[in-house]
Amino acid sequence: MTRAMEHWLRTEHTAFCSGCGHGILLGCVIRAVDELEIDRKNLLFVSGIGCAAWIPSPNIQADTLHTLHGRAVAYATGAKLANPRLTVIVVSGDGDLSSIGGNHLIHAARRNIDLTVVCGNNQIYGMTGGQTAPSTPVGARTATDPQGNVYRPFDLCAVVRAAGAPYAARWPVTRPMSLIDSIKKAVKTDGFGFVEAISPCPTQFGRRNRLDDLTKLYDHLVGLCVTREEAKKMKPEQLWERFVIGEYHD
Amino acid sequence: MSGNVQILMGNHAAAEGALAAGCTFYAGYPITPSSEILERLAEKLPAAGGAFIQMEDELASISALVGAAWAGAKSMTATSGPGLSLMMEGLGYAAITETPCVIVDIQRAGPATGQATRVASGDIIQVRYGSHGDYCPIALSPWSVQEMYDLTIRAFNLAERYRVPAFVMSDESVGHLRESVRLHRDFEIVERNRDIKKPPFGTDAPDGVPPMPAFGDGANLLVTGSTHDEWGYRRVDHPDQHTRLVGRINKKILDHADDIVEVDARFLDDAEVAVVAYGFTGRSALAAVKRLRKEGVRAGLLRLITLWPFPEKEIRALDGQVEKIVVPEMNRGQVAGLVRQHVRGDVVSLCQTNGEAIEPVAIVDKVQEVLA
Amino acid sequence: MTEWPVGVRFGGLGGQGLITLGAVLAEAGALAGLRVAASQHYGSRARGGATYSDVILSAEEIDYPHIDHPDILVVLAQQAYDLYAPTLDAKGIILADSFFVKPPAGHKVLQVPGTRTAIEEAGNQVSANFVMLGALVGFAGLVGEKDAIAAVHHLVKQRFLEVNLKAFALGMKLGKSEDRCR
Repeated sequence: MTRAMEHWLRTEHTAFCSGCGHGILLGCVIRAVDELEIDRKNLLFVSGIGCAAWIPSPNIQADTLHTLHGRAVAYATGAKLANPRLTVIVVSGDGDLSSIGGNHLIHAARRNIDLTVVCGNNQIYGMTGGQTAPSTPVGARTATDPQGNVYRPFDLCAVVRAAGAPYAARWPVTRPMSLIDSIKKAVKTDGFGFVEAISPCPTQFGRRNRLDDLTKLYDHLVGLCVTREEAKKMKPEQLWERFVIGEYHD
Repeated sequence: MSGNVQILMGNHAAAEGALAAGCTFYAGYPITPSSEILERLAEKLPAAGGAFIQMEDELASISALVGAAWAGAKSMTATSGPGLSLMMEGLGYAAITETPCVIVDIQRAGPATGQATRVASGDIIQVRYGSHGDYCPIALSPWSVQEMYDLTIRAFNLAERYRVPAFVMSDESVGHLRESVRLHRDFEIVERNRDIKKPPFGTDAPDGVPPMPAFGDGANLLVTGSTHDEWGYRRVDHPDQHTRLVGRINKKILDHADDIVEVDARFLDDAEVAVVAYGFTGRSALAAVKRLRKEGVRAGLLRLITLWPFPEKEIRALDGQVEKIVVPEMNRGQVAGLVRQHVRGDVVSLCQTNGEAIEPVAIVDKVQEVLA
Repeated sequence: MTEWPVGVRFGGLGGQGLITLGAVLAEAGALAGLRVAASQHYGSRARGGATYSDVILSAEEIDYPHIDHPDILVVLAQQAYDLYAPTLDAKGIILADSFFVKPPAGHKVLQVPGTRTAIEEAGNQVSANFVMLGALVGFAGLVGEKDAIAAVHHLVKQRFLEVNLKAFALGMKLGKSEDRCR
């Protein structure tokens, strides 16, 4: 494990807050590409703007393209079409990919472009100060929903699946082996692969939702995860504040 | 047709210019009056070994353009006002990351949806200043179908030479005009320096243009729209880094104005009045100047083929030489305002924003009124 | 001898094939060694409303490629006649499809049975535009018959080629013998 990290990381310090789940996700992404033995020379990471966009850039020792807010998937589409030999992995956040970049996400899934999109979903806009995202669970407090969010969140796996993605999966960062496995499957998918990593944000989400204690925050997140089997027995509105975990493919 | 002379629509000639210049990637979104470029390249670019994609919007188009350019492609898109407005975001990104790409703008009457099928030239200031922060794109302005071909090729070469987004600022009248065009190969093609050993975002070389490796070249590139050092590492709280980067990306264009700027001077040697025009209006201006000459008026034409960087030196040379300058344009005086910054003499603006091309008679009348 | 430049306006309704006529005439002109410029009126009116396409044929370089006052107006619909006849040059001539255009009394118009010939002789009403083009070339010259036919071959889709060539030939005959027109 340690070998892989040294091999892939640049010698820059991390930008993540202590307790942030994105560091775990960075480790999962690196281990996945390492285990797949992808030729680093032809590996490109693309990210947008936001905390999760910092996962590949400037951390990973490979080509990286750190783009504009929301546009990562569109930049990645151009790079992939211009040089199909590249393995292109987009790593970005929930707000970036599904709010400002939602249109690009569904169209890339519709076209079934051979990209892997890894969404670090921390359910909030972390970098800009804790505002509501399209992935914020119902009831969660944010800087723009001090009384709690009233709008239901996107089920991003369902969104990309409905748009045509052949592979989608959702796991919390507390299940790194599942994440690594799913990222590998998404990369190997001939077409558009999507992996959503539920990642806790202690600084913005935890602080506002009385989950300051890191252990509590991680316990809370694990407690909200339900399997697809369990989800079948629940009402849709119950799922608005939970995470259905598992894989979705044909 | 003799040789490679054809009758083409201006928009089709721009597409042919792109192919001749070595364009290997096109991403675009349908918009009147530019769509013929998209359609022609949809047909011809894949056959020439390039990649074509119709994106979901213009935000995506210019993003894909930049992604493709960094993957080693020569990339182009075409659009018109509303699409151009969306592209202002990606334009800034292309500027700060020094990404060569070509954007053909077939101008139509705005603001907003305006008159989608009608001609205008209201985007001149927008491409220079429409994205936030300081940057300096290159913009060329064709007046004929031949120049749609020639200047598209030149835009590709200048974009590569200076690592900068380059615009072909055409308009509906030139875009939809059909004329003879010689699809020649009498030009050199500028290729990118892909040296991976030198920093891709900084140079001490006098031209200020660093090499640009592609993804897949083994450079472990760090490309970011944030302020960065010469190797691409983000330096977002360094005043010096920001000064140096923004300074260089502007200076590398402005310092090379002599290489980039091209104007077409007609009947100016003994002129008492100069008409400064560009794009389709240049055609009206030439016809007007010839009519005025027949009537004994010493009129001349300075046609701006390059709009950005602005031909300041060429405009300054008019000062003192001619008594009056008339600037006809299909906007509310965008270039007339620029001309005024560089001369002390009288600059008279002939504005027309009715969705119609300016007819020669309107320019003849204005010149006579100015001289009276 | 034709006195260049000549500005030709094809006026009609969107969908009558006006842009094709402009393209064919321009290409035929270029084949004859003339300078040419073709432009068209774009817009929602190109879907059924009155619209036009213009061609300038010139012995010298064309400075301004739009037409203020056409020398020849070929008109395929009444709405277009009403709109564009007033723009005609003082010495200009009008060729009108007699099936759709009824010029007011006193107007000097060469009436060509374009649509009627297309239906009755060419066998397809959609080729009426090429009857009118043939009539123009037969009547006014401007470009050579061979060059015009070469341009038709180049610009017309294969499945419409035969009927349009036939229509063009019929039009040529009409144009050459004015008495067949009214």
